[in-house]
Amino acid sequence: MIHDAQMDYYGTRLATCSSDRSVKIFDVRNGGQILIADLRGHEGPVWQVAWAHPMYGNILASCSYDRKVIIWKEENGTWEKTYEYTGHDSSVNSVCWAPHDYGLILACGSSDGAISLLSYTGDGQWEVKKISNAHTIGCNAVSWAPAVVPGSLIEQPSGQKPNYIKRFASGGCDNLVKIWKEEDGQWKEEQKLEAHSDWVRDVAWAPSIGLPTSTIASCSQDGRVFIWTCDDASGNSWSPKLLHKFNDVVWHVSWSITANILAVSGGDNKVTLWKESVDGLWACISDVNKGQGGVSAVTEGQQNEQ
Amino acid sequence: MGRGAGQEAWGSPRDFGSNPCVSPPAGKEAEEKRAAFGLLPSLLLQYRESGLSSSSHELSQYIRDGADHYDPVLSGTWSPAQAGGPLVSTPDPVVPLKFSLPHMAVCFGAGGQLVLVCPHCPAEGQLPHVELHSLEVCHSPAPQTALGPLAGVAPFALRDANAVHHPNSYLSSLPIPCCHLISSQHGPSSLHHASPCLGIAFSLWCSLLMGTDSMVGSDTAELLIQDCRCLEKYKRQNPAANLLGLTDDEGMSRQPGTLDLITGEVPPIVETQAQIVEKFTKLLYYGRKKDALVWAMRNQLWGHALFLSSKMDPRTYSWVLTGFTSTLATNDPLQTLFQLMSGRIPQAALCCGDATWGDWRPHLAVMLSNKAGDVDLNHRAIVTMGDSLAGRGAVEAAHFCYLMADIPFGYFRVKADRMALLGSSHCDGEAAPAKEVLQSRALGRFWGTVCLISAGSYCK
Repeated sequence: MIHDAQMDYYGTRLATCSSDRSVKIFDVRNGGQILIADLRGHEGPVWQVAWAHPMYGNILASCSYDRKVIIWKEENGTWEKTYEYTGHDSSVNSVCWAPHDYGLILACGSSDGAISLLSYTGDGQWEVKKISNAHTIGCNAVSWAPAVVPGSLIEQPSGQKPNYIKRFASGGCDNLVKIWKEEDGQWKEEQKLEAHSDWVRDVAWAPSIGLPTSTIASCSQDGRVFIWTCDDASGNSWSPKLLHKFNDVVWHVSWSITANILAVSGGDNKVTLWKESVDGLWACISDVNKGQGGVSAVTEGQQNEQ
Repeated sequence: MGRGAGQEAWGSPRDFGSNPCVSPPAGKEAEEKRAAFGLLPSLLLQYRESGLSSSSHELSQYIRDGADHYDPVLSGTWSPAQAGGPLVSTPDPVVPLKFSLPHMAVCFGAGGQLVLVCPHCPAEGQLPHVELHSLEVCHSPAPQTALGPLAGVAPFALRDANAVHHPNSYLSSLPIPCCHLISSQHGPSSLHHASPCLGIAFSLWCSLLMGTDSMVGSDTAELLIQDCRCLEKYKRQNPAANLLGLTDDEGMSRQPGTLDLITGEVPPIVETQAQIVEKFTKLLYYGRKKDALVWAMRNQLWGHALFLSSKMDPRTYSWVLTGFTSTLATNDPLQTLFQLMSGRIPQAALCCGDATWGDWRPHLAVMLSNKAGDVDLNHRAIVTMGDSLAGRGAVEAAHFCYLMADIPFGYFRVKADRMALLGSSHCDGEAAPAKEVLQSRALGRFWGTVCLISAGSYCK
């Protein structure tokens, strides 16, 4: 059973991971589907894969029920394991690469409740920072905030390293979404977002379009999808808006590049696309039907249950 | 709805092939594993002691609170001390699987595609199936194509609007996701219809990335014009109406067919070019330059009129010139050109964007291709056009003008600034514009990226 499929930055390759413990990479250019690599190394179902930014080369991370996080790299046309992290006590459920501006940093969320941050320091070496007990029972998802520099990007003189504030969101089995912030080299819990009544299955921080607002989508076993927004730059007040209450568990949420469309997939095996209208209401713009010749457009204004 | 454990539906984890997580591995590998796990408690301790882990006050508080919520069934699994105990170098089967049921994974690709993993049950012989959807499918029904790693399906059709490809360069790789994004969000054929400005800007951007070191105004003008499929016919005004300023003291007859008292001839109603010139010459035999000019202007003999008047006094010359330009429609791009070349801000710069004025693009094209010597005038003319367009709500067109005028990016909040770059930080203050407006300017972000990355000026 394939658990995840991720396209690389250029849309030329697709990485998939499966219960058969393999990670496969396909070349999908021009409508093709050529298997480039079949990566073996995990000893359990592989839950998620994540492509690193291409400026670091062709790098893929995978995490698995076998407690391992493996980082694969393509060297001279062949894919090999470049690093294996075994610091978790239990299934690692989610991996997410930080914005490339921060360097090569991978966040890993695990069923042991901890979140690890693996930073590449050069020469094949990785530094590990761990947030223990980030979520009771387990962490299911991690998602990084986009890199935002206080002040204009243009005014920044070249050569001077901007002062980033690194943040990421995590969702866990404690029904919470948490926001973590790095301060003086230490990771601290900045916010605790409570709204779900069951395990949070996925979190996704929306890409930035230059507005001073931050947006996070979270979905849960309780069938609800919340959109959290924070209007001030200091990140202090987050307010949730219920996107929709589905009839079954919601597994995944994903933002489009310009952050204006949210894709939601649920236990009813349907994917819906949501868009925010000018007056701040979220409406379902499409119901993507798998395997069929066309896509039916749902009329706008599918009622949001409040 | 089970808590993710849901094992009753798909049996125990053993159903996932021979899952070695359930039975301990043997051999050297196992030894290494045990060693690794043996280290675990001290490793964790090391983290805490070195301060690397987040051991802030808040967390310690949370741990105390969290302990109340521990599920007694699972708590045994999570305690690190357990790892040193009876070494099952595998997770306890009680650890819930992240996914134990068929589920549908969805993810947006960097190119704006939607990657869908269709739910499938291997136990029932269902093959995995991954589909790649283009977002434009959502706006207009079109056959989608599916990619199945294990099921042969139709190839994924890359909607190529203007795929630009440069080998050996990270920078050159930028356009590909952008091309996909734009074409997928707007649809290749609908790009121009939905927003002609986006279409032009996109074409310009692709041209820039093709490796042109500099774009001259006429290149941009060409892009502006090529999309004007129906070039407007600028309605001419009645030339006779423009001769009101003429003096009539020499008693020239205006009625065709009536006797001309001076020459004694009856002018025919329709005159040939030769006859018009002949009469023009005749009037000059008698030294009646003014009459000759009036005659020439009335009969569209502009060349002769302008030549004669240019040799007379400046006042007469400008009178004839005015007469000539007033035969053109006020919204004729030619007017714009003449006004600009005369050292004035063209009227088009103030009127563009108005529905009655017509398409702004030919006017900008004519200004870009024929820049007057006065750089400041050119700049002001284009900026004024941008302001007029912005004032009438044609935001994308305004941005295009500003970019052509090389206006620097400013801050969103500062009123005096005309443009701000998406993706840069904008300080707090007033309310932001509607997200939709900004989304439609998503192209601006990539513009900015190009501006920042390309060396030197890109638009002369």
